[in-house]
Amino acid sequence: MAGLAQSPPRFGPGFSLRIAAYFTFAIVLFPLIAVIWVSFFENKIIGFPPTGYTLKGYFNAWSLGRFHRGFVLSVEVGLMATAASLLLGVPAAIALARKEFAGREVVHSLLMSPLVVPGIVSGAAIYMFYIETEAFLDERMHVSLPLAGSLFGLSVAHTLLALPWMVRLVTASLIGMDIQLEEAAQSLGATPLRTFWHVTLPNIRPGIVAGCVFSFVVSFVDLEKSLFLVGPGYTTLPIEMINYLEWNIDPTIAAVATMQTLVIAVALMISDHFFNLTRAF
Amino acid sequence: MADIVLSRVSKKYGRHVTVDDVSLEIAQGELVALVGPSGCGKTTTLRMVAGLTEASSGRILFGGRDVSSLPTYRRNTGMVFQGYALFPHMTVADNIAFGLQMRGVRAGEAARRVAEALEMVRLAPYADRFPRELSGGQQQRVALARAFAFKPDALLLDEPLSALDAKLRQQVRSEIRRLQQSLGLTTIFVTHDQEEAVSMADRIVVMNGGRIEQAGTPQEVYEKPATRFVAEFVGLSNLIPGTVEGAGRFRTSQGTVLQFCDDGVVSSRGHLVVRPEKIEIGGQAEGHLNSLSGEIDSIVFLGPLTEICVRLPGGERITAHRQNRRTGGAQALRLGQKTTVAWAPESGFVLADG
Repeated sequence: MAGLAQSPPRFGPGFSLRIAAYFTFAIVLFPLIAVIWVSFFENKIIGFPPTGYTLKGYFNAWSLGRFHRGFVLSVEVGLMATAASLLLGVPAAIALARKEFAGREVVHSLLMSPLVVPGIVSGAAIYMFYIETEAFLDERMHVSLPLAGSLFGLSVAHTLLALPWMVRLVTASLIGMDIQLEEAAQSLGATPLRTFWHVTLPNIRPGIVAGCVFSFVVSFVDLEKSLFLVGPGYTTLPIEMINYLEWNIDPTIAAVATMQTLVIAVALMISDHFFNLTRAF
Repeated sequence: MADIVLSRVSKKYGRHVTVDDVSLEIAQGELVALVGPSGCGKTTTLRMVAGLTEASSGRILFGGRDVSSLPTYRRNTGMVFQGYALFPHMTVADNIAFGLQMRGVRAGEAARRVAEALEMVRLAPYADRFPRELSGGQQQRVALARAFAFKPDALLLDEPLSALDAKLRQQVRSEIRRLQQSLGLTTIFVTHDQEEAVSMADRIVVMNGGRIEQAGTPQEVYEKPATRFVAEFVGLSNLIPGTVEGAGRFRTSQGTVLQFCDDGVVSSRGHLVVRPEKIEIGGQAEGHLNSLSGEIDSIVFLGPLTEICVRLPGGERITAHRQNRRTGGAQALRLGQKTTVAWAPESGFVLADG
């Protein structure tokens, strides 16, 4: 992922190194290019060689309500997960990077654990937790709070996906920043809050922006964790795509995938242009 | 009246004592240099004055007011950090204005004082530059201007010259001194460079192992070091081991009796200390009662002076500095040549062991 944000790599004179790099690059890019190519095929069922080229796949994708709704829901969930991980992750990163406290390592590991636990496992666990909670609230408290298959439930689960990225990237920025800048601000009379606002924040902004972009992207493309948590009317784009793929393999699904890729690429490029994301890694 | 008072200040990290029971009084407008080898506690002491490090015990007073429990941002001290710590996302002018803004100084007044501070450090044309666009020396001056622009109670400098090259250091040294005196700022200056401390400070405080070894004017500390550590750390010293025999009489371990300036040293074992520039080489200079003979071990030409090392029969080496008053004067000496080292009794003093 980092490769996207980096300036063109400069290699030494090693010819074999150059070949290896291009080869790796080709392997990474090939499926992407293939999908984009197929999205313009005229064929109803994907086959080679194509009988012709058309934009019909894109019109189909746009006119199918399921993809439309899935896209909107995925954007909504992505934005909510990003907002939540921003509110939780930045203070957590500050505590981890700047404070010494008992159990610091434990907190860090807990915040990173969603990266380690397979999505399908945590997805199932969250689903069971939601069901149990719903039942408990309903029976004991007489409160009806839909969690599984709701926008709220999905956003909470996706926050778990996004949080490790936010914490990791913001922590890296904080560690990379000269701590004397904060001390200087305080010696000049800035309270801790004003120090954060006027000095820390401007200096860790690339990390926070990178954290937001990655939070949104991991939520936007997530499949495994969401599988159990979607419901009628609340199905995210990747799951709509999987459902569609069960019965159809046609240029329409390739067009959907292309547009999905485009959203991510644009998000990365815009944020890199404004915030020089390489500084966050 | 003492402006800054440190009263029995200590800093402990677990069982490790970084600063050990330090007491110090600094007068209004005085420049005090804390000097010592790395790890001697000088920077920790400065940070405790700034409030950046909390003292484990003891009290710190500014103008009679106990500030020990005040956080950094309420202490009103201007600090210059070793790496300058200029805000990279702000212009030079904004950096300098920061302390004023945090004190709620009105924009017009702040701008006037920023311009004034820039004028004082001769950086007026650079107001709208960013720190990364300035040279090291210019950044250093911005850091200085930022630290005094808001009229702090004290100026605290942490190795402010260590990142500059030797030539520039000389220049910035006198500039800091000039500013400090014209503003009448009470200043604490931390450095590992004893020469810097001696040349800039009203008073120097030599620290070692978290304790104050000696505090006094540069001249006092240089001419009358209180401990062997100070004698060896501040300037060069020749230390001749031996015993005090009586009033002003010192017998070296080789048995030679030397006269020294007696001021009531009672302990028998110790070292006779003589500074290299007090020693004359060759000839029996009149009035020089102390004389030892040996052979020339090394000759180092240092420009304005020549450093000559003479090895005594017992194996000790005596270093002498000779002014190069005449061109080619150093060439009269040869390695291995037999010669004498001589000095006046009042130039030597004894430091007792232990």
